[in-house]
Amino acid sequence: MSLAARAQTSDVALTTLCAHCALPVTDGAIDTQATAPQFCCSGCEAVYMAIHDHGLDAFYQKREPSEKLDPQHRDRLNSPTGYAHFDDPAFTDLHVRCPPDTDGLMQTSFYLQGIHCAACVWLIEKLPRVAPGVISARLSYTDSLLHLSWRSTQVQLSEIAQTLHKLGYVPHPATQAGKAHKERAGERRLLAKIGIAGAAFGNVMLLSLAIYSAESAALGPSFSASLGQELRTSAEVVMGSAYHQFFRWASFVIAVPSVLWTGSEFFRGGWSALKTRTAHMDLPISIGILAALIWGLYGTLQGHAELYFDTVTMLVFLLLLGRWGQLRQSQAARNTSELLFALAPSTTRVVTPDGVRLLPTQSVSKGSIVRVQSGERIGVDGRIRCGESSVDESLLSGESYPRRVTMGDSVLAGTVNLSDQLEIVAESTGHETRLAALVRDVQLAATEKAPIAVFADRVSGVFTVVVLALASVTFIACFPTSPSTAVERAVALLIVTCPCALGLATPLAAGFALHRAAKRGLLVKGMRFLEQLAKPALLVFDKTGTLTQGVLKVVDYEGGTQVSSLVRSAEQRSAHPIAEALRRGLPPAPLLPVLEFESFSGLGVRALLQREGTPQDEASAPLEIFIGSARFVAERAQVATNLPRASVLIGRGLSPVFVASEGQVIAVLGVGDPERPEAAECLQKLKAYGHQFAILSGDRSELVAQVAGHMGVDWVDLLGEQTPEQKLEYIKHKQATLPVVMIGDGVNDAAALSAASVGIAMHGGAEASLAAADAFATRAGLTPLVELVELSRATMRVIHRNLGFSLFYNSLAAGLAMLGYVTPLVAAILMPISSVTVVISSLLQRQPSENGQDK
Amino acid sequence: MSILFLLIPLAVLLAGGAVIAFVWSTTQGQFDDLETPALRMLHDDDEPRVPSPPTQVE
Repeated sequence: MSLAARAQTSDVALTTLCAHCALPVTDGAIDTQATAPQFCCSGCEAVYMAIHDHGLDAFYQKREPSEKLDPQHRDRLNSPTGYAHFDDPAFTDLHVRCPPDTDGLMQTSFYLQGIHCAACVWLIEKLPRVAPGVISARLSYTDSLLHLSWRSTQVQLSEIAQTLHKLGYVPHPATQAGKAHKERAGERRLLAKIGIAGAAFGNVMLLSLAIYSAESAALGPSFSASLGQELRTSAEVVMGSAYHQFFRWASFVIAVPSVLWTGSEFFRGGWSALKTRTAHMDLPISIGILAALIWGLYGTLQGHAELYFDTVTMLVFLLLLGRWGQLRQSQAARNTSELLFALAPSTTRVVTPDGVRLLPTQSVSKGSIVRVQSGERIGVDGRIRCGESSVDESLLSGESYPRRVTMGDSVLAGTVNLSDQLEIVAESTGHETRLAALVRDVQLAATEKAPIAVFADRVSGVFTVVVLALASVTFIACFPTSPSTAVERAVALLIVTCPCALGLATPLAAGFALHRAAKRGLLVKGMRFLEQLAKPALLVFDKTGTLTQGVLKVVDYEGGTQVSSLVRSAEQRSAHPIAEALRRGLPPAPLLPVLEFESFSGLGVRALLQREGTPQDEASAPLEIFIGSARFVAERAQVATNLPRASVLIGRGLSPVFVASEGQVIAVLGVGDPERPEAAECLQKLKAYGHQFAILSGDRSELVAQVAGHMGVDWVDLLGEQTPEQKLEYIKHKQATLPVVMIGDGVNDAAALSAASVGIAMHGGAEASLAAADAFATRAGLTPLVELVELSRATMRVIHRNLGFSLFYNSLAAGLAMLGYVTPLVAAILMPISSVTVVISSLLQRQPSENGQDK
Repeated sequence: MSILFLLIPLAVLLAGGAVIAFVWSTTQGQFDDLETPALRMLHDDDEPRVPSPPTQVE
């Protein structure tokens, strides 16, 4: 019978949830007082108590019931020390603003780690109540940035930091605040420009409407294609010459200054493109805008010529909107990288001849001796001069196990010194560290243009030349008959072919796609990666956590409650994943007291249990029990382990776990990492899109073959027992021939993830994998991957459609202008139609959820 | 119809005022964070309407 099903049901009934993080509490940690809140670890308990003591229990009612918090397992969370340097003058100089005449009021900003839901905003903003002296605490939910102001006479910054820490949020000084401030100012300026351009557009259009109505009234019911000189004169007749001039001047007054200022974005880009002789969309746009402005200036002064003020204000408005969308799109990645920067400590202890001094990390010079105490982050890349410790490098390498380091070993900035004090000779500091390089990579990835955007730019280069050539041809062709018509037509051509739709085509579709992906829990660092995913590639899976669930489970179990009771008792002290799987997967049974416990790493455990029903003082022999691999049990318990059942289990891709006691094997359990039920179906879908597959796994080759066999697709390579270096080598080798997409669980795969054309981390450790991976799924399973591929294919279709539309409209407009059919009225209709088509086409992107299975 | 000569400049001035207000609020950072204020508004409701005397530590 299937135990899995039974285990599942008993799981639900028995699981006690942690009062803070709402994750299941392991048996051993359950407090016997049934009414008291239960905690999975002391970290959660400390945070819960801190929240409770401040009377903020409402936090737990406010958060979503399904919300799982980050468990506060990490030891550093338990000891909110190490903020003393926040009060140091060196720190104050760097990060704290003291506005004048405010009587000791100080301001600073922190990045808070652990912000995850709306209730956090509530909790954090209660800070003035919790820590007297804090004047205000404003949290920006989207970028986890806390703006804090406090009175230095009443409270120290270190105390505030400790309070935040106790509440479960680790504060990092916002080192990039200055730069972020500058960026924010840029964004605000753009937004202001959009407002001005929009207002100008609306008002000029109203005025133009009056002029156009007069024109059509002048023509009466016989509105025909004979637009031109006679029309304008008759409009003047209908409207009255004075009014006609007045409306034109009003348009001029509104349009010219606003376009000159708001359009400066494009003029600057166009000018630099001209100087460097590179193709850029801004160049043809600038030509169009300037042609319209100069012609408008002439027309207004001269009093008769056509004016294109309405078209040009609209152009600028729409283009600025597109640009703003583009700016917003890369914001998420930028924020993440800023958080990475915040992970380097802002101050560092430097050993000098006159003692240890605390200096800002940026000003530490090469060759200085840096002292790092236990629990602190290292601020420089360097070599250990004295001391021995272990460092947590998960941020940089994705490696979840700490690394032992000793004298002569090199350590990197951003890693955490876990156990003992270290003295390090700084080798590279500030912007030369690996951490800084990593941040630059992330930022670069976000700003780097997708090949399709580069293509659009190149098209615009050709476009500029063609438009200028066409304008010259029109001018020369019409000049002999009528010089004024020649100028008008050439100008109309330049304005009407301004590649507004072309400029919107890519960023708009990409922006919508990335936004849509983020809403579905798929964070993609840039459009470049979406484009890559739309093309057939070799998908390389790291088996654990992608094709399989990544959690060990008892899949096959024989034996009643008695065996369960023995195994659960023996394993209750072990932290090994298999022990956890056994505790979780076996039916509940009474636990026996453990007299002795020994664990042999990677092999198994030995335990002495008190027999059931015998009081402690009775001198009956305790029960010796061995649980572990075949070899371990055979050697230690002296039993034969070549049982047929074991080979059956191995044949099914499971690891047999032997339980032996009193000279015989009493049970063989099949423990394994079950495949994801949706995996086969997902791979079929991906296969239909032309992708190929391979597995690279650290697991045994038989297991890999086993899992691969169940998927029903052809595999290019099935490689087991791969080290991270071998994985990297394989990816590099394969990449020579075709693009490689690496899909890993984000831990231990960092190098391979970053080497692949696209690295996708499936539900791994967020910080580490976001640093290395190009896309990151916050939901487990393979469905997000299929969604991502479908989304990228849909997006590329839309982009191609958009490019096609805009080129078609521009050719049409150019043709009409050369033949002299383009008047301001025609331009005012034609231009928005092309832009609106592109916008609608981007909005109508087919949502992958319609056919994909959503959770 | 000559009122237009007065009304249009007036309308342009009004629009200009609105634009200035918008630019001012942008530079003040009112559009920086469009998400948190929406959440914040939901949270303040359960506070007592009449504030209790401040519990200042002596």
